[in-house]
Amino acid sequence: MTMDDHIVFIVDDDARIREALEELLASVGMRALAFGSAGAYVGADKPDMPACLILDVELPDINGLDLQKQIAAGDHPPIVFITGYGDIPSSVQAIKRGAVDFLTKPFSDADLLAAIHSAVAQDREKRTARAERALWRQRYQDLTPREREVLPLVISGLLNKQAAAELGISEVTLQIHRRNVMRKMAAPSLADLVRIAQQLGVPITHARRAERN
Amino acid sequence: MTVVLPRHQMVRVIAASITDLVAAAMAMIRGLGGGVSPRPSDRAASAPWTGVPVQDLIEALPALIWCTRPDGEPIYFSRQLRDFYGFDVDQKDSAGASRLSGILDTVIHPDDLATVRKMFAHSLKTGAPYAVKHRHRRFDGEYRRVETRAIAMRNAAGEIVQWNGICFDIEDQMRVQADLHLVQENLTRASQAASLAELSASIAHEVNQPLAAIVANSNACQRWLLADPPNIQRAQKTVDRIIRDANAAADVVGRIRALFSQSEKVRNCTALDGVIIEARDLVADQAVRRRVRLDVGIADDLPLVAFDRVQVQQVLVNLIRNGMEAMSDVPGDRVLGIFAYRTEGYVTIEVSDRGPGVDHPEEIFEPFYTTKGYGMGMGLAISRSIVESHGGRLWVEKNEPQGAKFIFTLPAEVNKKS
Repeated sequence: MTMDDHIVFIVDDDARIREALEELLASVGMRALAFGSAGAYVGADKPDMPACLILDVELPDINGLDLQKQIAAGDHPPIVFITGYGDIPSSVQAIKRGAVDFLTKPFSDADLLAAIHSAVAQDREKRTARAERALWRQRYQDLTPREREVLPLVISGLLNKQAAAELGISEVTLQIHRRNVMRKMAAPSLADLVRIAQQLGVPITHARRAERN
Repeated sequence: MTVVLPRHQMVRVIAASITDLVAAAMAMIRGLGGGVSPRPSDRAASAPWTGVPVQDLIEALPALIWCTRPDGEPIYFSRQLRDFYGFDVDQKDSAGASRLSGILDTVIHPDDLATVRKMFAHSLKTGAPYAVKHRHRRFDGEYRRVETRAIAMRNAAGEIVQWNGICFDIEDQMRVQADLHLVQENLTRASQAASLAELSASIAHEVNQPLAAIVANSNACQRWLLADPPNIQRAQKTVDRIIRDANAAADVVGRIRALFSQSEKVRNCTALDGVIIEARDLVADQAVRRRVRLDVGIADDLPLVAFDRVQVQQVLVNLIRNGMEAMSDVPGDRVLGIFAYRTEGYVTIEVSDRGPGVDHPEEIFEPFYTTKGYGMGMGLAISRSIVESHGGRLWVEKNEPQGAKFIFTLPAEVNKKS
């Protein structure tokens, strides 16, 4: 990892903690951006790159755990909680909601750095997956209306003959549509196409078994 | 658990109302010429102010009223009393025993019977007013607590012509009072139990902030120094911050100490045994739940000690709880000993358990040291601060045959000795 390919956000109301953590991260060559409140963090213009959020539980404007709940729906970097008073219920709640770690102050740099590395790695994966999904969504948008009709039939496992009958077109025409779908969606195999379609939420409309009955 | 009721106030209120009722009833009877049983057959006179027959008035009073002859033989039960007992005044007559005996044997709770007999006999003999709290039996067999009062009625010559009595049902008030008392006790217990935990939480937060900064700055400093080439300038900057934050942490600790020493003003010179008993009562429920037997021994010759009641109680409760928790995995006898005795110039209190014992007899008193899977590790640190602020010491020894024994001393007052 180089200094510029990821960033650590720090949210803590105690200036001493903010500057100490910035210093620590600087000493290991990491970029950090610190905020004194949840509001300042949420409202800030943040660089778009793999990141980790070090979040204090006791904040002046909103509890860190509540902030976690609020931003859960959006794409936010994985959270490493830090707290001056770690009680078990809070830590369980935080971890259940996907926090990477829950560190009680004072914590060791090894624990913190390990948590940050794991958080950044998680975010990197999430971002890759997110980018992939965005690409698939774009490709799906590029399909013609007819091709979008063909896709659910193909991934449902219907034979060409059956799918063609379903749409009232010839088998040869269907084969052309099918080839175009595979090409436009950049799916090397039918299995890949099924996986991508699932990610995009394309429903499987026909069960083959139902056709046999 | 024995509940001691602060009943004086309530009794005064009830007594006042009973006295009023008796006075009213007697005034009515006196208004008629006095000295006779208000039986309908005997009297059909009306109270002058309403025109209602006095008999009806007495019968309608919301109280249990009775009259006896000068020798104590009952001659009248009011309707409320007849309904309550389920029989009238002459229905317990039997050969060989007086009517009074028959009635008392029937209605008075066996445990209260001797007292009632003794007190009533005393009143009959001396003419003194009668007032006793006892239980008496309702027609359905339920015993209810009641306050009974009776006064002798005298004729012009001063001779007793009749005893008039009233029973006032205090069962419901007693229950409400007992419930209230229980609630208060639980509240006290909860707040006392919470205070150490809350205190340690806030101290923890106050101290942990600068500590966390110190640790992070130290790590950074080390890295700047180990860098090639070393970044002395930045290392210097972090060292400055470390000094600043360490002082801040020391200030917090200083403030806590000041907090404890301030309370010296409110220290009262009292015997310790009351506090020990209170602490034991506070944890009694928990001991039952954890199947721990509390073995308490307090020497009779404890000297007086000047101490802050709440703080010393917190130390005791904290040590007792620790001891009980230490025994949660002990299969055999779970005995928690609490002993207080006199030593030269001090009172010494021991709290011993039969748990696994203590591996690090000094470290356990350091802040944030804990062997439990939870908790702040502040309990013993605070306990030691409290004891030391009282001029005593707190330490741990091995308990025989097994477990740990926490011992603390409090200096005895030299001037006064009990």
